Amino acid sequence: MTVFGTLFRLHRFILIVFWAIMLVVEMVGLVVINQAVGAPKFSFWLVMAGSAIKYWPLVAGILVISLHLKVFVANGVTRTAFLGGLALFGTALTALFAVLAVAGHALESLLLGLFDQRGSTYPVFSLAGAPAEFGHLLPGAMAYMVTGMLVTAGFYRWNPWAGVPLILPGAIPLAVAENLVRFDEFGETAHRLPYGPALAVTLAVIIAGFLAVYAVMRDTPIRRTSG
Amino acid sequence: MSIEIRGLTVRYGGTVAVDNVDLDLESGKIYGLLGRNGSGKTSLLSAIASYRKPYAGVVRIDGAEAFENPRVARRTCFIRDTLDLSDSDRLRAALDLAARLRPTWDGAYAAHLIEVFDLDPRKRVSALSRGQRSAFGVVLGLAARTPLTILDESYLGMDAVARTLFYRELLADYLEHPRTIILSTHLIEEVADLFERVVIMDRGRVIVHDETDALRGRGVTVTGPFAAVTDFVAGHPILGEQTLGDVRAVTLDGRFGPDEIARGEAAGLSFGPIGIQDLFVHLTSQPLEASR
Repeated sequence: MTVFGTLFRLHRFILIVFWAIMLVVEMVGLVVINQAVGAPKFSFWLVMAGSAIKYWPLVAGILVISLHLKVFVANGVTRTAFLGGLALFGTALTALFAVLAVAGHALESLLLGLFDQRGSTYPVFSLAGAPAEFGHLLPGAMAYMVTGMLVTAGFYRWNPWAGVPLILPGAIPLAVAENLVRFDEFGETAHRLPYGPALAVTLAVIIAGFLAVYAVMRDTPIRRTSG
Repeated sequence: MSIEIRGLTVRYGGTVAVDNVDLDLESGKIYGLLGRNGSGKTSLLSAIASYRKPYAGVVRIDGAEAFENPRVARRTCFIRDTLDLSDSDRLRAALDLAARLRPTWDGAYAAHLIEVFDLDPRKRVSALSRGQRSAFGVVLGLAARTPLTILDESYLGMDAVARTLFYRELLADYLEHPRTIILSTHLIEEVADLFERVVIMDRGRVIVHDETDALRGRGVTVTGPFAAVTDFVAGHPILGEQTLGDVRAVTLDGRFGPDEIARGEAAGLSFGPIGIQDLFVHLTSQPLEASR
């Protein structure tokens, strides 16, 4: 729990600032869209949150290993304990993002409904549909984060010549999630498989990806900082 | 914490940095680790601190294998010359993190050291000079109060005042909180008085591991008129020498008996202990087998 709690503490401030900026941009964006083209036919929140929920965890997956592993090891934490805490942190962070994405969609849908500003194809939020929304967004976010970890693990452990070709297998979780559990700004989901099998395959790939990260990093040398 | 190293080998591809080293370090002493650049000091320390998995062999600390051992990791602090921090971190954040993760962290002592080295906790790591970075490493290393503290060339870039403060704080804190401290350095004479034992590495091997006083007693420095010294030392292996005008000081490997010393003193010569640095230079500047 020490690693998990400490990672959250380290990212707390930037998370609050980031989501506060998202709220402000959402408000401004809705006004601009309304003035320019009338009632929105898509969820502007899902455009923004849908990107944030992918790229924030992707970057976090890259940075947490490249920046924080050495700092934690230097403070008496083993690689195994760090990676265990990172797994908890990744799960909690992506769950938080998915909750905020769904909650933001609910708020946006409610506000637009109150002012009768929902376009014809706007994805109206419903409590019954919320679990499905969350259930698509969460595994997608987790897949992006594991991809970030996999990509950076290759570069961290080996040299760039080995790291570059490892980007391709590292992107497998991302590619699987994009094709099986996608949820877009029109509320559309991918239908290549029924949700149950799609979720099972995506989670299996995510777990396998994290186990690969563990295998690469469990005995990696702790790299020196230049200078 | 006692350290037992058996058959330790550290490799970087085809380069052998530490070559089949056996070494025992008792707990509660200050060790000086000496060696030329590329002799394997940092690699040895990295293996002791589990920063690098040995290619072969084992490091045991208090009898337990060290690598990825949570109990050992919590009780070990390794400060490298390049700090293991993010450049964008403020010093205050690094201190907070250490306080959160280190069960033995002494915040009050860290604050004292910050004051001693005149560091500004609001500054970012990237804004520190080379000497300030080293000083901050010393703060993190000493305030962690871990039973095993390893400082790898922690004086780099420090001016004479900062180095003196560092040695003073290290010794004072060690006396108050005895623990195992390993200090690697090139400034041998400057810190030799701190060391209880000295380990000298050369080309990946440990060539000397002995009490500092025993090393000093291993040779002798003969000082006196040039001609008298030259006559007296003829036939003895010379480790080093200095000449100033007609005065010559020669460092020799070996000892003299009371009769020889009396004869030398009658010729106007004086005898003193060997400088650790002279011994170091001698041992590490000849073929490996000859130095062992």
